[in-house]
Amino acid sequence: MKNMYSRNKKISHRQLQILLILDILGISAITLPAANAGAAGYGGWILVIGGGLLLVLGARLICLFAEISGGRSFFDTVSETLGYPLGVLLSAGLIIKLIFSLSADIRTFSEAAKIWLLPHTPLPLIMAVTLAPCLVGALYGYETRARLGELFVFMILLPFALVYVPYLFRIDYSRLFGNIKWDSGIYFRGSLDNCFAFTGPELLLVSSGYLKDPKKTKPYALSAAALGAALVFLVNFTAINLLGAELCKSLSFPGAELMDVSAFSKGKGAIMMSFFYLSVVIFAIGAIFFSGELLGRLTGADSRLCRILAALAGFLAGLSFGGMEVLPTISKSFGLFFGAVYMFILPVITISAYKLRKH
Amino acid sequence: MYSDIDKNIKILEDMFKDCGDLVKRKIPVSKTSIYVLYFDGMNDRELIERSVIRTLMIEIRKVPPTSFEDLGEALINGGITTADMSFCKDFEEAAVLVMSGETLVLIDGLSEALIIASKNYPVRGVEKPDTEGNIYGPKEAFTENFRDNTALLRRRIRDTRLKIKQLKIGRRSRTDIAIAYLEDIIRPEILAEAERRLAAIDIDAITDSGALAALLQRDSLSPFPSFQLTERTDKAAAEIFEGRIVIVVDTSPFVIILPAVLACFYQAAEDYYEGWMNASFIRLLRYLSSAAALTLPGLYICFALYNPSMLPTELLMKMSSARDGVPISGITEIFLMELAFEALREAGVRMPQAIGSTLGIVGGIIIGQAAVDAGIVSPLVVIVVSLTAICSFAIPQISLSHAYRLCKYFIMLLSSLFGLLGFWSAVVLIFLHMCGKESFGIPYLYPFAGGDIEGDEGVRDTFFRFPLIHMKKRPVFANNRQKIRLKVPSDKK
Repeated sequence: MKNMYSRNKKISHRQLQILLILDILGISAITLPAANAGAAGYGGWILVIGGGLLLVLGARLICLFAEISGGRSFFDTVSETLGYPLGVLLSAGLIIKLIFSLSADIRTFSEAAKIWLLPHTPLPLIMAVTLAPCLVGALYGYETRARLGELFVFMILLPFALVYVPYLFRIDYSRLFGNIKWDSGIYFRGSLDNCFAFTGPELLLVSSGYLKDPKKTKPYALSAAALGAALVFLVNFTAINLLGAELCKSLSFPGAELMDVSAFSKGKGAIMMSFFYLSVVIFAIGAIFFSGELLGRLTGADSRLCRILAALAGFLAGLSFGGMEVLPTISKSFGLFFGAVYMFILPVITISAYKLRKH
Repeated sequence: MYSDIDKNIKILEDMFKDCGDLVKRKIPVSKTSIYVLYFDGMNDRELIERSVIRTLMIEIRKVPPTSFEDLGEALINGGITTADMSFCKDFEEAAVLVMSGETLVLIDGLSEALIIASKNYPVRGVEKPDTEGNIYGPKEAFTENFRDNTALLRRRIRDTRLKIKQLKIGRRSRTDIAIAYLEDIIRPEILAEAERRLAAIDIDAITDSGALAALLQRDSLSPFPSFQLTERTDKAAAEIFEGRIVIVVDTSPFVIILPAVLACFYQAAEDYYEGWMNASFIRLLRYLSSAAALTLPGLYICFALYNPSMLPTELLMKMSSARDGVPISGITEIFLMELAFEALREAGVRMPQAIGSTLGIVGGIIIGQAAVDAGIVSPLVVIVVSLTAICSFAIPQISLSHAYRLCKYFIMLLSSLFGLLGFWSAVVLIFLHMCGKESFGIPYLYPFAGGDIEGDEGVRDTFFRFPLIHMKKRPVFANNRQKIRLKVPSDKK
């Protein structure tokens, strides 16, 4: 049957915006305050602003990449522009980046789930339960993910509206800048870390073939990146200013623990944290789907099988991390390298090479 | 068929051997003879006697013996006093028509059988709908009579573009099926797909519209229905006006409506007969009730058994005191209570109405209270199970309520295993399934998800029912060229 709306694997710009917001939000929203407070104390929230601005810049470059790719796959675009070997190398690198981001998100969320929800359940089992629906979602396909995002965006934004926005009115703004130490080096490095901690924009590199009109992505992607960063800023700003920088950096998930400490009795953070599961799912489906698709394109294997392999790889990689003491450090170093390559260097080189060839 | 009447009679009588309800009579008339065949009780006996037998006897005697070769023509041209008459050359087809209640007449020398429309089944009249009650609006339900049902539709849609295509499905049952639609409003691709699926059905018998609908549904592993069944004539007609297909099945008082997305199952006919505010309030209540019916027991397991610290302290204290002395675990308790309620509901449906309501009172109130008093179950579990049941009844379409019932157990199971994480995993999996599901190419969660259609007003008839004056366009099912259904004076300028 000729289908009216679906099975064409194309998503609308509105769906893209929603997915991007949820991807950026991910699990980083509740973990970043600790890292930011550790790096810049009370000025940690400023790092999110810097990271957000860099994110918008990176998203703009990626959109330009998507424009020249014009619906072709990432591998085809890079191979045709930079040559076959680089195409293979960069595609393999992107698969690694996606699987790493997937495993880090799953592991981080599972650690949080173990603390709040299932203290007696083995971590690998929690990770498997977290990952299983994501794999099912990836097997359903990209359009299903977009539809799921449309449903979940309201569920995820609800706690923001109910919890974090009211917190803004409890902050003592007279002391906002008083405790901040200004060090440009820390702020620059911290902003970069924040920018690369936002997972999601790299999915734009591979998703151009799934967009209804990849050449008109820019305004939608940029507004979504800005909004996603603004939501992360909201969590960081309230967590750091209400909990205090010292307490914030000592907590693993200050974004969620804010509820326990500031508002109600112990245990409410679990409700808050559970909502983040939805954004983790959305990102994880995307990461599994696109790494599987890329793997399929590179190896010629069945893409569904590749998606299963990608999920399995993500699970095993997540297991191999050393826990919340080591994970942020690994993520930071890994994010810095791969983030720089795929968010800035690759788009710039590809766009330049494309323009040079064109002229 | 042969021109030799005896040969035809032999074949037909072989076909209908041992059919005690068959009425057959050979009437010899001078040089020729006539043979009449029909099933007793399936047709209008008076019509057969008056318009067929009596007329034949009189008319044949009027025909001079020399003109007996033209007897057939004479009968057709004036002998038989009924308008609905046709010819049939095929034995199989003739047999099916006789079994459908028509009368077969054979005339010696004529190599065709006369089929006289004389269907008159013993059927009940048009009554009030049993399963879709209402306060305002028509109270007219379909019946088991195929032709009455198509007539009820035709009466509501006096438009020549209303097409009612007929076909037969079932190798043995040869059930009459009608596909009703407005030819200019329906999307041609949806109609073509429906016809293709109907044509592909090769089954021995169709006994009800529900069975046919299940055969039309592509994803048989899905608990969610992608068709609607209704017994309300006004609802069926309204759906045709929106560009959907209504399939009438003989012997079934329910018609099938295709395609069907989730939002359709929350719409009741009465929503459009009263003020938009009240309709919107009730609509919102239905959505909230279905969410509660789906998740309440699962959330109870998560909050009460896995993460009680999430609950306010006072509630937690009350809950733990209520569970004091209950000998079974909380998970077993809620599963047992849910299953006990399901058994009660099932028994209530199968029992005669008077006994059914008594059963409900005995089961729900007396046994429930006794179980709480005896300390076998906690009162909170009784409250949760009862609330879940009440909420599930707020969904207008029982088929969706049944789907939610299955999903509820899935959520309960995963919640029992993994607490809040299991709860969310189950919810994600259910939503994923719904997001991937389609009904005749339309996303099942339209317009909540996948509804990026420019200028579409589908969302105006979902959680809220907008004022009718603001619902100018037909929903997604309608052909793009026929989107406008309401024209107001300001639009005409």
